[in-house]
Amino acid sequence: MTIFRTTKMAFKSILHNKMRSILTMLGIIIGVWSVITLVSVIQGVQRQTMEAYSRMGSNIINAYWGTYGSGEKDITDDFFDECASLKKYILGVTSTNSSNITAKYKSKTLSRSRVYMASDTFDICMGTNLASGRSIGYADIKNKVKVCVLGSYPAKEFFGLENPIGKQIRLGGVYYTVIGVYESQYNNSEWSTDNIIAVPRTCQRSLGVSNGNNGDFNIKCKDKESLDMAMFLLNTWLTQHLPQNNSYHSVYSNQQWQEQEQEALDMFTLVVAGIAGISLLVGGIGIMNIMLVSVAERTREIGIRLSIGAKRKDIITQFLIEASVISACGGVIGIVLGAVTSAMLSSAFFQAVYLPSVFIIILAFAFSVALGVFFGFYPANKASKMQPVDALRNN
Amino acid sequence: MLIDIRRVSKIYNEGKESEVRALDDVSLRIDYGECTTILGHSGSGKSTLMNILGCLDIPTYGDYYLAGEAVSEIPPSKLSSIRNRQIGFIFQGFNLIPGLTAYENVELPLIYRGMPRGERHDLCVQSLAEVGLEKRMDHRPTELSGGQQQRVAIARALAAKPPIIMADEPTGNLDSKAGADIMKKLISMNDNGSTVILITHDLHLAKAAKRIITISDGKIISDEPVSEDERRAVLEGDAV
Repeated sequence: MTIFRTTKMAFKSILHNKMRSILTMLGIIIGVWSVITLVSVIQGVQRQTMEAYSRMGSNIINAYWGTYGSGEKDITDDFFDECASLKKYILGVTSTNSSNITAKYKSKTLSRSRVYMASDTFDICMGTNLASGRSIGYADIKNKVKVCVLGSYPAKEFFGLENPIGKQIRLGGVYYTVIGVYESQYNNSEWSTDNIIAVPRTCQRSLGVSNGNNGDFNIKCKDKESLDMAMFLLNTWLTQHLPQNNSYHSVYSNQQWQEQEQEALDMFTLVVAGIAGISLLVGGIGIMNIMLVSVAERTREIGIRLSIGAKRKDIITQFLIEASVISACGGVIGIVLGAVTSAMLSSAFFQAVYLPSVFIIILAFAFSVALGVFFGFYPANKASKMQPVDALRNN
Repeated sequence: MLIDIRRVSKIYNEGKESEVRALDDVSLRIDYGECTTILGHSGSGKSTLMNILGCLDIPTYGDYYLAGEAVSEIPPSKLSSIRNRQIGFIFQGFNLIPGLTAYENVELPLIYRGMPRGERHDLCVQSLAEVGLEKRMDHRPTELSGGQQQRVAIARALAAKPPIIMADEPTGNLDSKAGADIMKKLISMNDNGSTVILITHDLHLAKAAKRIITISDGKIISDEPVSEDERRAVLEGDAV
């Protein structure tokens, strides 16, 4: 008896018991569906995070500090000087503090733009790219020139198709001249990193923004070795220059964040996949249950097959294939549903269509077939061991 | 000797109050090419005997030698092959598989045998035509009458021209005309060299064979040849 014949026979028997087959498949469908959806949503989150990091660029150090007491010396300028002295390792440094300041152009008002106190190396530290105009330069900072570079969102909202360069907008009541516009980094929406305005860091006071004795900086290094060196040096410098007892500071590299984030996400994936795996297991037990019923129901048929010359092997193969076909069908339906759901969820959350990875699809399919074989074997084996006449007598 | 059973007993629920001795110390020999009837009333143990002879059941006690080989020693897969190739069963209750068509039911033992498709097709069509069902090949058992189902079962048993044919009340569900056709078919198989074992409760029908073994309460009570005259009378009479 060939596998092909047996498979055909299994399909026939599945179609013969439509309702039962569908109910059996349901467990597998829901299991595979949830595994695929959950895993691909998590992979989407992961991809988003990693994209955000890679936009920021590599070899970035993040340094922050703060003091608890009042009247401590503000070390921000000293920090900039220190970084400038480490030219060998450091390409640029900028504050990553941003504030909500209402921006106005003519009658239009934007209240949610993040205003950054930028250094002349803001672009390489933040991973922003100019679409037109120029960035904030050394002279702007030195002379506290009231200029700004707009993110793509405020540029679009304020100026539409007009050329923003040279126009004046108001930030907290003070006029700033637009000297440049950034490319869209993300999806050009109000809540994204495209809704930013960069002004020279020395204009901070005139905008009425104060960070107190806190700092949060991105430092762009030349390469991996420079990064390690700069991290060490900056950490030492901060330890020396901050008051010993009532301050905190931290020097982190982007890579470290990235690795930690990755680890956390991996862990989360495992946990979620585990939970979804349990539902698959329940589905598998459902298959075994239904196979037992199916064997019991068809004992007479098994008896007939045995009495006209079916071997044990033939009976086992028939029921095994039946179980595998049911679970494979369930697996395929689950994969399709999972792909559709994860595409829908990702387009809703991330504005991008993420399909489940090939690896997870193959894994889910293989797992569901394996479930069918595993849970189909016991009843199949049981059926094949019967004496023909005992099976025939069963009604 | 083709079939040789020695002191065979089949006991159900042995040792309990409900103990039933379906077969009680039965010894029997049937040679190649014989045409034998096992005659007995319902509950006499004749079906149990056939199940044992057909390797569908194992005796509680005693030995069964098929063509000189002890059946209890034959491994299950070889036993399957014997049922498949050597013995054609015609069951009392048809025993067709409900989900398959008449054609597929006839084809099934040939599939298990590993016969190529073309050869299978020829044998199935021919065998169904011989029982007059060539127009019902695609019908499922539920779409056939009792007599037609019986004929499908006969076509299945005889398709591959097995050397041993065992028939348990093969005409039980047929009218006398159809029953006579089936009997003639079995007799012609015997004439062509097959060993035929017929099981019936009908003394008149039993006389179509060359030998009648009468069984009652699990014991053989007589074993006699049928005279040629008696036999001819049955076979030539229309109402078998």
